[in-house]
Amino acid sequence: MKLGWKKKLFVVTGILLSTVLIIYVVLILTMDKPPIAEFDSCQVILGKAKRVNADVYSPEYYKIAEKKYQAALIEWKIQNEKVFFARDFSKAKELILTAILKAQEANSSSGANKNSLKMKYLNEVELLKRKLDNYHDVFIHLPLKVSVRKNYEFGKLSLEQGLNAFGKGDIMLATKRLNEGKMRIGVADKDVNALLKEYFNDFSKWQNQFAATIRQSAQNNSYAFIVDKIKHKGYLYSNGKLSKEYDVEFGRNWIGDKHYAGDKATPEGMYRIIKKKGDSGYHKALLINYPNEADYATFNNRKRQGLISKNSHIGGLIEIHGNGGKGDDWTAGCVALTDRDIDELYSRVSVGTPITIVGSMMSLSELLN
Amino acid sequence: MKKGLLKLVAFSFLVVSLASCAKAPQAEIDAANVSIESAKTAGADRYAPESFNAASEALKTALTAVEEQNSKFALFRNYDAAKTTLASVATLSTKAVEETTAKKAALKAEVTQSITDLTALIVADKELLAKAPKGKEGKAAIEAIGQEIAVVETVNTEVTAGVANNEDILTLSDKIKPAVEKAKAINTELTDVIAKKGKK
Repeated sequence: MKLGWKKKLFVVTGILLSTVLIIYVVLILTMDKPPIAEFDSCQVILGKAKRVNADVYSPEYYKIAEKKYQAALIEWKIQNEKVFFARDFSKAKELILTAILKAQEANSSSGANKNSLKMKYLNEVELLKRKLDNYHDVFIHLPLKVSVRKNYEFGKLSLEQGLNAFGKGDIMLATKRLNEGKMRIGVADKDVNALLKEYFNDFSKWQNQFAATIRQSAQNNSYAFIVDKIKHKGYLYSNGKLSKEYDVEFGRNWIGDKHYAGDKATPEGMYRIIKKKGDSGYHKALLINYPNEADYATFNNRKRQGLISKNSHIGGLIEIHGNGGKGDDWTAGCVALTDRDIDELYSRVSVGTPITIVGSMMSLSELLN
Repeated sequence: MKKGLLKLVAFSFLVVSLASCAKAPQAEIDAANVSIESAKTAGADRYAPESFNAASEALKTALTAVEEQNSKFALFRNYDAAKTTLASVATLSTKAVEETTAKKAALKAEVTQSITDLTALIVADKELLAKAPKGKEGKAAIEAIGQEIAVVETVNTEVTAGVANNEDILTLSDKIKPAVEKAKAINTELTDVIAKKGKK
């Protein structure tokens, strides 16, 4: 009887244990599985993305992918801390799948973004180089402050530093340096713009003057000489067509019209040769009819307005002469050419040849762009 | 006697079970994280990106391996593979730091040499500029070259101060190289101009 009871207890315990074991095995077999394969796959894709610098060229996608990966890992850990049958990896799966998607997007867009950045960089380099060419070809003669010139030079060096980085494949650093250069050159351009803006208020007048001079040369089948102050060039027209261009030099205060005698400025306007001097102290010279009627009118008007002293004189003896090629604006207001150039010009022009002196034959926007 | 034997078997089973429950290698994980952070602080992500990325990827692999084991029934957990990977994280991080140190030292030597070269070039450029003739472009061109030399000199001063202040050597290297090239170009340009003038 006693043994029978023990046997009964043993059987009941055995059944209970077996039931528990069966339930346990069923739970183990049916429990939610962690997304191990997805994690492995995401790691591989993220690794690839990193190797193609997607963190640099597709940072948004890459950052999201990394964040989602870390969030998925944390979620996996949280679920692992629960009792096995209470684990739910659905959120971790969702997060890791998003991470995979974003890593793939980062991977595929990285190359395209890199190429687009390259193209954008090269285009901007061209624009900046054009601005620097302007500085060297056009603005180099301007009486600019040292700080303005320094900004151009700093800009140029930044551009070169950027190109050095670009050569090494570091487009981000290249772009950074390019932007530094753009900033410096932008500041310098602003200063140049401020200097020239007022001066170019007369551009439509200059435009009319040089157009009329070229027309005159075409109509009369004759020579005409146009001086472009900004470019420091003299253009000889023959029968309305450009025949030759010369480098020219002026007085120190060449920006702006001549106001009075001794102001070291070169007059602007439409003139003509009134005398050819073969034995000038400046090798050879072509005297022009400054001051003409328009100059007298402007001079008297300025005097009346009190813009110049009442005791000032209008000046005269403005010539196109030799002794130039000094690389400086050194005359008292005349236009200087090299001796060789004045020899050539002297041989072609005659008394009465139109001489037009303008600030620029190009508009400010054309010059700046 | 029989009862005692049963107790002994039950106890042994309990001890074996508890002993079989492998613990997650938290100390190794912490050490791996520290090694990665140290490498990053040293600048390995910029100076030794390959080794640094390899270390970072190994850490990811190790952490998922740990969680994979944590997902298993306690008796079946085995962290050996994770531990091996975590050890490789430390090795790779150390390698990245060593490469970083070596690269920084090499760059520092290079930049220091560039400073010496540039200083000499600036002196030579200034001397040449004083001798340069005012050609077609004349005074304006000479002034422009003067400004170029001034800008190069500013860069040289900045880089010299940067080296003294232990600033990022990679940035300093990127800064000074084009300045040296610029100073060389100025030197060549001025030497040519002076030589041409001499022939006339």
